[in-house]
Amino acid sequence: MAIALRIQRSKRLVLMMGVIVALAAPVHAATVEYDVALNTSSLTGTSGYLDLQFNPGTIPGTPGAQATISRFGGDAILQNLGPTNGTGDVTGALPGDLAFHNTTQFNDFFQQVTFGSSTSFHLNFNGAFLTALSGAHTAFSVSLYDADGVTPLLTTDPSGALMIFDLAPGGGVAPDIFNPSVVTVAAVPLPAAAVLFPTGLSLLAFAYRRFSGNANVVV
Amino acid sequence: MIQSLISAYRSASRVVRRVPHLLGVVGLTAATALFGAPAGAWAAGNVVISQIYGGGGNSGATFRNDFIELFNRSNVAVSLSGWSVQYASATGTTWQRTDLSGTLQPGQYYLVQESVGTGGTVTLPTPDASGSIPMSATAGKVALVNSTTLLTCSTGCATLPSIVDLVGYGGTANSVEGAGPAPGLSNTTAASRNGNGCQDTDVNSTDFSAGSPNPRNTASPVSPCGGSATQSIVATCPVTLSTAASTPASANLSATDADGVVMNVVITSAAVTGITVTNIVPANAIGGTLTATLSAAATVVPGSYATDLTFTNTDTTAQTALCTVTISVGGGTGVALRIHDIQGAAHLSPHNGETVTNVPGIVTVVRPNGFYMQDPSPDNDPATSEGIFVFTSTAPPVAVGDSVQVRGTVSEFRPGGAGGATNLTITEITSPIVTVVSSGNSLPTAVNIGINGRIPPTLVIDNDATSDVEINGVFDPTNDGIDFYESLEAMLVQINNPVVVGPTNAFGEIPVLADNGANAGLRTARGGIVISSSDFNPERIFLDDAIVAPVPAVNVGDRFASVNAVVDYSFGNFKFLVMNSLTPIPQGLSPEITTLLGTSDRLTVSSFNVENLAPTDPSSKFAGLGDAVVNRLRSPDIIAVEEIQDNSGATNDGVVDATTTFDLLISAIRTAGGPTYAFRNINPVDGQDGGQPGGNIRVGFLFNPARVTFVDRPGGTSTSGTTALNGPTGPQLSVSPGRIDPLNPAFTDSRKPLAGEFQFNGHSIFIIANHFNSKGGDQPLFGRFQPPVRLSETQRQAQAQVVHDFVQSLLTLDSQARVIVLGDLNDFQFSTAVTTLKGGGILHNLVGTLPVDEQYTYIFEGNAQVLDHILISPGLMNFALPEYDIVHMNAEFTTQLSDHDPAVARLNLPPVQDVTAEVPAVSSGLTFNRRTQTFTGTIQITNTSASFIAGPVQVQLQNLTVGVALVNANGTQSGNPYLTVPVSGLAPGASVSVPVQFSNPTRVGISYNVRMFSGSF
Repeated sequence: MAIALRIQRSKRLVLMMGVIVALAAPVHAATVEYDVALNTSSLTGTSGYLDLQFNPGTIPGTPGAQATISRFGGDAILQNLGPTNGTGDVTGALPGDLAFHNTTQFNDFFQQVTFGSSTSFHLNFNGAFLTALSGAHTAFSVSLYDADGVTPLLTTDPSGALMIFDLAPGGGVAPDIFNPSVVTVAAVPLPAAAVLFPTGLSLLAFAYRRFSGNANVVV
Repeated sequence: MIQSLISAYRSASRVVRRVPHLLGVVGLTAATALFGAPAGAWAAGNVVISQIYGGGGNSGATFRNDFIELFNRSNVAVSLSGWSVQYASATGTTWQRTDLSGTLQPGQYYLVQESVGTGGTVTLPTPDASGSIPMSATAGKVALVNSTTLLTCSTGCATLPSIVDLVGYGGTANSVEGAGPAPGLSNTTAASRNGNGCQDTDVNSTDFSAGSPNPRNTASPVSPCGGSATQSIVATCPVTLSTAASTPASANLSATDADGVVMNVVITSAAVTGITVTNIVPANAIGGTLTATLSAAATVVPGSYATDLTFTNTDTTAQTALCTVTISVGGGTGVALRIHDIQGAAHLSPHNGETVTNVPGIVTVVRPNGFYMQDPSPDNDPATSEGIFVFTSTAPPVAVGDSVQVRGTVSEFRPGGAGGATNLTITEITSPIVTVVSSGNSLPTAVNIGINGRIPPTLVIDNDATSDVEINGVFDPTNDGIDFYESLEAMLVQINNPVVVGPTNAFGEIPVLADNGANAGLRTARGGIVISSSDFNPERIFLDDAIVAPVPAVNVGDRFASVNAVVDYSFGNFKFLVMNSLTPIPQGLSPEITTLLGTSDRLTVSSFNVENLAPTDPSSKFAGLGDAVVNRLRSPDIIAVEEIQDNSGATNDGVVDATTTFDLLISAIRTAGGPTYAFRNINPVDGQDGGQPGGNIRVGFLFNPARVTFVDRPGGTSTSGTTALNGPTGPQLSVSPGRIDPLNPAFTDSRKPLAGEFQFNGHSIFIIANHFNSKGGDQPLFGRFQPPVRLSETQRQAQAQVVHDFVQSLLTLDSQARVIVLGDLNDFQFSTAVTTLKGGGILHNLVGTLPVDEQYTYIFEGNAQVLDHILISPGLMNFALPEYDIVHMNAEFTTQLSDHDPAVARLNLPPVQDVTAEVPAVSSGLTFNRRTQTFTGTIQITNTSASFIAGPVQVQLQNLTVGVALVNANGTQSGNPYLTVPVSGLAPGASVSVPVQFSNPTRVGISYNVRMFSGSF
């Protein structure tokens, strides 16, 4: 049942994004950017982990991809800072930028935090997958874990994640949100595209409003 | 008499047909019992030896003969019939006897004259019995014996049970009653019982005195002993009373007593319905006369009845008198009728029970207990038979060709005795008096049954009666088969070019069609005739060997030139008793060989009723079955067998295991060149599953383990049922093999269905073997009751419902489950039971895929019909390209391994199909779940072909990275994990995301090749 729901959600979002992409092409040729906000108010003051993963479906067989985290924000208090929180092909450290590549099976940044009311970051996807013709997908997943480090929070998805960005060969990126009351994702319009395609821009703006929900958490 | 009746029939195993005619025997037996009654009823000693004289004819004698005088000293009449007086010398053991007869009234004397001599001058008074025993004039032994068996005793004779009275006379007599013998005698003295014969203290020495001979006979004045009843009752009765059948008659009775009042008269012989004494008027004074009427009503069954009448008076110790009247019924003149009048246009004669006379006919057939005769001058009404059977009980004194006149009673004889209630009657003339008018006459022309004669109805047996065809409905020989044959009862018939539609059976019967089937209904492809729901083929004619035996052993399709016969009825059918020797014209029917051979993709499944197969069967039966399985059925992969008996066969010894039976069959198949089959079955509870007593017949599975796998799920028992469960890869049985609902009352005294789970090419197949309850107890097609009541259907329908519900439970778990229901369902494809089994379209009967003229597995009384079935579920019907063949190798042949033809189904069940090229798979990225320690994601599959791809679809991961495992795999095939996508299929363009979970403790790169398969592993 969980799978079916997941497919359903995914389809809805893919459909919407597909319309946007069609009108805003050639988005695929450029990077894809999102603003992600997590409403962690239910966890405020508790300790836990923010888990960010960027894993391919198979190795080999997955086109190269890169994910960059920037503009990390919110009121969470980060604990035990440092790059040692990364595993696999990850560089950087929070609250600074993080750079993930999907070159190994497990590319992870596991950051201990004391939760505040919200956490947010900007996300940029780039790489060969944007123009690849085939291959496995790559997943960028966002999870919260309890202080024990193994208990997923605010989700029932078997992946343990709150949401997953599915990166398909050819550049399709589909955010799959398992707990909409926690996760807000907004695709960020590109200036060049806005100039070239005002109609697409207005649609993206419409989508932005629809998807943003709580404007306060958008950084 | 009984023996002769039975010997008239060819087999003691068949019901003696003449039981009602034994009535005459019963009457005779009753009369014999009555004759025996007086000897037991009256104490010995009431008739005594009253005088002995051995000097007759001797020198100085007056009388010329010896004599013995008897006397009835009781107050009741005593019959002497069957008694004797016997004499032996004083010490001898050689006895001589003189037999007695008649009845001795109270006080009456009885004179037995013995040997004559040269002396003497006076002849004895008229003796009541005479002998020639030379008795000693001085000493000897005389006995009154209640039989005519000679004594052999010397001493001690007095206590023998047959002795009524014994007198030893003379001092040397060594056997006497009491202390000593009666006095010694001389040529001029006799020993006389004192008191004129009344004294009897059982002491010869005191009861007798010597004196001058004084012979007295039954004409002498009576001398009653004791009381005031010195005079006895004198009764007046006729000797006989005769009347015609169904004609009442009566006679007057009277009795008087000179010194008493006669009060009553009753019948003291066995009661006979319709024989009574009425109008009794007692005597009104001493010396008066009682009058009464002896009556025989019209209802008295013809016969002879010895009727005892006992009169009584009012004396303190009542006196009685007995007389016997022989009543004869059936000797009347009767009505002159012709046979067609007697037969009438009806099943029952309009003259049933009447006495008929001067019935003319030509004797056509002589039987051991009667003869057929036919009117040489028929009427113009074909509805009235011109023939009739004259029942003589014993061999009739007539010959074929005699012209006779018959007087007798019209009666309707129902063959089969107590078990024949559903038979039609045969119109007969019974208790006949046959007069032969002339001999050597030509026989009446036989009626041709068929072209240029009378053509039997081909569709309707009866369509106008609602129960008893003898008393309701329309007699319609033109349209109703049962009336058609009735109109020919006992007539000579001829059938031209008969063609055999059923093999010669064990009773010497052959069902045929006239004119090579020219006017018959739907024929089988091989010469038989098939039934349909609306046509049970009244055109079938049963030839029978009752007269000319044996009839030849023939197979379906064989022919004869022509048959002459006389029409009889027995065992629920009209029988044409063949009168000429039959020479078959063989048509060479051959047993079939199936075309359905198993292949790598195609599974063959068979049902075979092996008819009470037991280790006690001759090895030839096993060898024959082995040959049939290998060379005719071509070694089906799975065989559902019915009627496998236990290891001891029909011996009722508590044995239920059938391993020996199965092993012998398997061995025979192997010997014939076939594979080594394995078997599965569940033993029944002893004696609870019907069939031949002691045999414990059951259904079972034979299977070729080189081709199919039996999925054993242990735990099945005789009394616990198997159920359908949801297993990891689809439905499965809780136990396999397992019986279905064995305690359900539907299976009382009947075989329990056996379910088994098989695997072929990776496919699960559920097979249910059945042997529903038989049609035993149903009324016959040509029986008295129309339409016939088929009581056996109730249980069969209940059984069908149970199996239906079980199949439904499998299909509820998986609508595409592969289910085969097969076996001897003992009912037709159009029956209620089989319709119930298929209910809701959950099963398809493969017999329906055959041409109608090939739809038969059994031949009953010439009717080719389907009793054995193979039904398959929709998934198999729609996707497995079913093929079907009934292998005609038994039912049509007089030599058969079983009475059933086996059937074979072939199903296309190839291994699952590789559709990797048509259904590409794409992996999502994976997310590591720290709780489950698994990498999770999906594999999306898409049908990129233009064709529907049948489900379920299997996603198999080959060459998965070492150290990585697919945690949520549904199973492994050839070591490779796979995921089952539970879809009925993928339409072109359709895609499905399949979740995956990998364990990957070392977090190595996960790599694999996806292979896609259509179908189930």
